[in-house]
Amino acid sequence: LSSNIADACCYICCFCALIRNIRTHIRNIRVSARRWGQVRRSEDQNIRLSDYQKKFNPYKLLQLTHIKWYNKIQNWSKSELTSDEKMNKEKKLIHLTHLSPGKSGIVVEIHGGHGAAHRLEALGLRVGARITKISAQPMHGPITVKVGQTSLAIGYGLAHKVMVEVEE
Amino acid sequence: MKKILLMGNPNVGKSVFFSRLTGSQVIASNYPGTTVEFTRGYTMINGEEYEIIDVPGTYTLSPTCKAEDVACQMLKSSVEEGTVIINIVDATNLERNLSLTLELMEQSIPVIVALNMWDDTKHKGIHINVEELEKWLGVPVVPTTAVTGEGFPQLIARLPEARTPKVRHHTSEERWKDIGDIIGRIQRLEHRHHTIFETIQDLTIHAKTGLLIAAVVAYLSFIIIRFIGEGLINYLAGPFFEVLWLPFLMKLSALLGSGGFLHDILVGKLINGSIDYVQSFGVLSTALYVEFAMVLPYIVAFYFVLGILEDSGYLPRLAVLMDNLMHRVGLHGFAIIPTLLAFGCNVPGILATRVLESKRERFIASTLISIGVPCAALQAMIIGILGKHGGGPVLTVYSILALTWLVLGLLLNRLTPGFSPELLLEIPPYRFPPVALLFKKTWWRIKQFIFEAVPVVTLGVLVVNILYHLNVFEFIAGLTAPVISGLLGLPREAIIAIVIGFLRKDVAVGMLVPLSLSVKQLIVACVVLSMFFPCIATFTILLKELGWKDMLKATGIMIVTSLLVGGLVNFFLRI
Repeated sequence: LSSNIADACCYICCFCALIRNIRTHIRNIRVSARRWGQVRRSEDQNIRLSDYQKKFNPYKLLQLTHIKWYNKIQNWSKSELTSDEKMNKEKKLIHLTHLSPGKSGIVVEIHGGHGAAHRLEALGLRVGARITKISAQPMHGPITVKVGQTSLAIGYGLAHKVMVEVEE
Repeated sequence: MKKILLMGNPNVGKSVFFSRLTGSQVIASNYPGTTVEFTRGYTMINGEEYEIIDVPGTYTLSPTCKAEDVACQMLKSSVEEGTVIINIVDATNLERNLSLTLELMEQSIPVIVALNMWDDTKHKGIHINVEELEKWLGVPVVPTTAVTGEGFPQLIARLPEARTPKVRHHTSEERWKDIGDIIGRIQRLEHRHHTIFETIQDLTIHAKTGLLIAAVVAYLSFIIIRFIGEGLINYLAGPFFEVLWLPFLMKLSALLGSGGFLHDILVGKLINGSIDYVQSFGVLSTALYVEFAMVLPYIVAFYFVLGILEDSGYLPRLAVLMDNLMHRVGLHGFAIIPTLLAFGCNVPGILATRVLESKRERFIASTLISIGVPCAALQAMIIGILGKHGGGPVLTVYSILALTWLVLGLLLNRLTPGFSPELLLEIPPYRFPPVALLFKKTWWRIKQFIFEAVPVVTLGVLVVNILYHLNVFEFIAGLTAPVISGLLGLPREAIIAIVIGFLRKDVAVGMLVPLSLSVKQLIVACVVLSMFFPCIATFTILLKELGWKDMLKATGIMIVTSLLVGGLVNFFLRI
C-alpha cells in the first residue's frame, strides 16, 4: 500500500513539476532573448545560450521528472532534515547582480573562465572576500561594490558571474 | 648608472612621487591609469646619480591591458645590477596593494616599500604597525606622503638598505591567505561614521542622483571654461594685441613698404590699409593672434577645469554612469576618460586609450576620438568664428559631431569583429585637489601646448604664404573643385584650409575667414575640418598606437565619413 501511495504522490508531484519546468523553460527563453545583446558581448556566456536552445521534448521531460521526484520522495522519508538544510543553504547563494544595495556577503564562487576570475582577483575581489554592494545602475549597468577599503565598479556581465552568500 | 623603478598599483601616487624625486613634471591625477607610458628622470641621491623610471600602475605582474603590459616589460628588462624597486603602496588600502608587493619580491630585484598616502590613514582611522610589517616583509618600509613630501628624507636615507628577501614562490591563493594573516595582525581599523565626502561619493554614483549631478557638473564646467576663456580674451589678450602689438606691427609694415614678399610673410596683407588680425595672415599678425588671443585662453580654461575634475576623483564615477551608453558603441565606461582628455588635445586622448583592455576597443576609441572629438584649439576657433552668428550654428556643429560619433560608434561596434570586455574599475575616494599641484599641472600643459603649437602654426602660415606666391593652390583647387564645390558646396579655395588642416586645425579654421562664407557653408566647413584627416601630431600618434594597417583603416573611415556627413549637411541643412 505504501508503495502505491508513494507512486500516486509521485505522479501528482510529477505533474506540478512538469508545469514548473515548462514555466522555467519559457522564462529561460525570454531571458536569453532579452540578454541577447549582452550574451554576445560578454566573454563566455555562449555556452549558456546553447543550453537554452535545447530541443523541448515533453515526453523526455516527463520521464526525467518522474525519476527525479520519485527519488526525492524516497529520500524525504529517509532524511528530511538534511535536504531541508541543503535547500536553505542553496537559497542563500545568489548572483552579485541580485544582491540588493546596502547588503553584504561573502564571495563564494566566481564563474567563467580564468580571465574573469583573474581580473577580479587582481583588484581584491576573490573567493572568501567580504563585499558590500553600494549601488547598481539601471538597465543592466555596472554594479559598485566595496571590497575592504576599495570601491570597485564591475560591469553587469562580470558581476553576474560572482556568486555571493548573503549575510543575514 | 643605478636605476630606480617606481612600481605599484594604479592610483597610489607614483607620478607625484616621481615629480618629487626628480623635480620634473609628469601628469598626475586621481584616477587609475593616468600614466600609460614610462617616464625617465634623473636625480642625485647620496652623491650618486640615479635614473628614475615612473612605471604605469599594475595590479599584478600578469598584465590585463596594454598599460600594464608596459609595466611588466619594463620590469623584465630591468633585471640587472644596481636596479632598485621602490614599491609604492597605498597605505589606506594595504591588503590589496600587498599582493603586488609579494609578487615583486619574488622577482629577485631589491625592493623598498613606501607606504604612501600616510596622512590619509590618520583621517580614515587606519592604524598600521610599520615595524611589524617591515619584520614580516623583510624589506625596509617607510611611511610617506608624496603630495606634501613628508617621509622622503627617511626614504632616501634607507634606499641602500633595499634588498632581495628570500621568498618562496606563492600561488595566488597562498598569497592572499598570507596577506590576510598579516593584515589581521598589523592593521587596526577605527569605526568611523560616514564623512561628507563619502555621502557625496554615494550620491554621485547612485543611479538617479548620479545623472543629475553629472549634468550639473557638465554645465558648471562649461560655464567656468567660458568665463575664464572669455575673461582672458577680453581683458588680457585682446587689449594686448590691440593696444600694444598693433602699433608696432603698423610701424613694421611702413618700414617694409606696405607690400612685397617679405611684408606679406611677416605682417600679411593689409585690408583697407590696416592689419586685420584674422585675415591678414602674416607670421607676426595672424599666427600669433590665433594662438595667443583666440586659442590659448580657452586652453588655459579647459585644462584648469579638467585638472580639477581629474584630481577630485570624479571622472571614474562618470565612467560608471556612462557605461551603458559606451557599451552601445563597443566600448566600456572607462573610455569616457580618454574622450574627455581628447577634448583638450587628441594626442593625450589617444594615448590614454591604452588603459582599455582589447585591441578592438583601442581601435574604436581612437577612430571615434579623431573623428567626433574636436580638440580645444579647434573648438576655440569654431566658437570664435561661428559664435558671431549666434549660439545656434555652434550648437549645430556640435550636434552634428555628436550624432556622427554615435552613429559611427554603433556601426563600428557591429562591424568590428570581437567583443568588448566588461567594465572593471577601481573608484578612488574623493580628494580635495592639491592646489599647488593643480596649478603646476595646468601650467605644464599650457607650456607644452605653446611649445608644440606655436612653431607648427608659424610654419603653417609661412608655408601657406610661400605656396600662394608659387600658385600651387590654384592647381590643387582646380583638381579638387568637383568634390569641394559639387559635394560640399564650398568655394574651391576652401581646399587650402583642408590641406592646412593636416598641419594644425585651428589655423585651418582661421583660413576660412577671408573666403567670406555664408553661415551654412561655415558649418559645413567646420564639420568637415573636424572630421577630415587628423592633424599631423594625431596622425603620428595613431600610427604609433594602432600600427599602419589599423591607422590606414581609421584614416579611410575618417575621409569617407567627413565627405559623407559634409555632403549630407550641405544638401539637407536648411537655415
